Amino acid sequence: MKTWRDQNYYEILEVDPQATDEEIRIAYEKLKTTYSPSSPGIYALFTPQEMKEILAKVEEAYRVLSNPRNRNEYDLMLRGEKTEVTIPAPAPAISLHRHLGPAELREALGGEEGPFSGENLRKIREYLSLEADEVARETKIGRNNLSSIEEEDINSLPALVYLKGFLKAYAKVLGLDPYKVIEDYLARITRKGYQRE
Amino acid sequence: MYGEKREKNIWAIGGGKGGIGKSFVVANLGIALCERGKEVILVDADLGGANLHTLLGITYPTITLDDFIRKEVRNIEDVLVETEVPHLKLISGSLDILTMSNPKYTQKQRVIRHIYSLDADYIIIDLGAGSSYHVLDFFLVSERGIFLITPEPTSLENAYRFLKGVFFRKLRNLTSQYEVKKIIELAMDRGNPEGIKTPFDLLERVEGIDREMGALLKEEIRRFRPQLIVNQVRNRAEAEIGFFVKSACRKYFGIELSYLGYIFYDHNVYLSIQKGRPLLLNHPTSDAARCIRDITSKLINGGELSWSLR
Repeated sequence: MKTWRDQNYYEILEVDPQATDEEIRIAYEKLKTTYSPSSPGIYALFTPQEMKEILAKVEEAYRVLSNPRNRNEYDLMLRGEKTEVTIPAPAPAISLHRHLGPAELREALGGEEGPFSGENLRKIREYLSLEADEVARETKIGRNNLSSIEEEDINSLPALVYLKGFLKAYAKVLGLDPYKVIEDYLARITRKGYQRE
Repeated sequence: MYGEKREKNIWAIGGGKGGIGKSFVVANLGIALCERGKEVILVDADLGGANLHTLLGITYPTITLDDFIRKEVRNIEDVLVETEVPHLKLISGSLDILTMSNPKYTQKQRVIRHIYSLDADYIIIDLGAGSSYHVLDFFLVSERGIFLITPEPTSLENAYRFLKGVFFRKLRNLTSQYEVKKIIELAMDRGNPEGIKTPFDLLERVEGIDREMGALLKEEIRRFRPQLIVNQVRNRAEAEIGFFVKSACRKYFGIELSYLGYIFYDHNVYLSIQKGRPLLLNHPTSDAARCIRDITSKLINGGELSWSLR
């Protein structure tokens, strides 16, 4: 038994040391919600200060484990084969609290409010003057996958589980409802014949 | 009757807050177990607010736990009533609010002892609201303590308090050492003068007093696995609250909680309660009924939900 203060990054994120990048990302997002000040009832267990500290640890753990080089270094350290690790500095968050209203959507899409096709996602991204590289960095979606998504290139799109995760992350950066985006997008590419499980 | 011993499972359902559907879940879990060919006894231990019988369509129970507590009948089997579901029996709760909402310690022990002697595959105890000692003790003597929440902040707040109560009560019951007991009682109040802020601080302190006791408590905490059901879930985000509670329990108490599943908010539940007929009979194919069957199978097989990739 260890308190969260003594937990390693995997324990903090409550994932297995063999967890995939996708599993780590999902765990990170859920923990962020769990320990946010708006998390219902949690104040019965933790003080605001403790929640802040837990969140900071969650962020730090994610910065290390979501970067393959840092994660590798960290794994070596856990095995005692290395004594120090680099903790990447927090990236300036570009997606914080963005929410795109219907009026902005119409402006971005020339009078429409959807559907969330690859092309429309690109239009919204450009409307927000976000570079593809910037989005790739923020969402951890590879640059190639991002292009495939925007081009709706069904032959190079990733498998469905990953695709959903990517669409959700992309939608969030753009300030869109992730479920709506996933629904629209999957409906379109299914019609085009995408069928990767 | 006592000839062959069968494996018996005693479950208790609590949750801190009132009106979150404990009795509804107990009744329908019982029916779901009967659908699988099990013999089930439901016990309404909501002393002071009993209404499990109503949910099963019994308006005036002829005999209740009262009669047993007052020793008008000798054996708890004598207060068993049949329900419209074959193999599902009920022990109705006390309707006598004044005398029974706070039973004496010896009365409670007698009830617990007799519940253990009941002959059935599954015994499910419906606990009342609140975190009083008798609720906590019933929760702790069951083999599976299940706690129920709804996604409302008020329910979560009560659930965390309930868990805290259960946790400290469990530790306290494990020791007879005065000094350790005292320190556990102190720890329940966060502003205690000893500066014990978390269960981890407490364990450290107990280890300082008595190493062996510290190790024993740690082992019991490791084995303690309360179960969670989220009721009245309207969307995926609300279903995910179960995982939040799971994480908070890990990080705060160091306990592993099993998240059994969620039950969809379903208008059919309201309709069935209005009609006085359990959901699984009245709307057997409704969304909520399906959820209850899923949870039943997880309870029987020891499974839980895992964070889904999506």
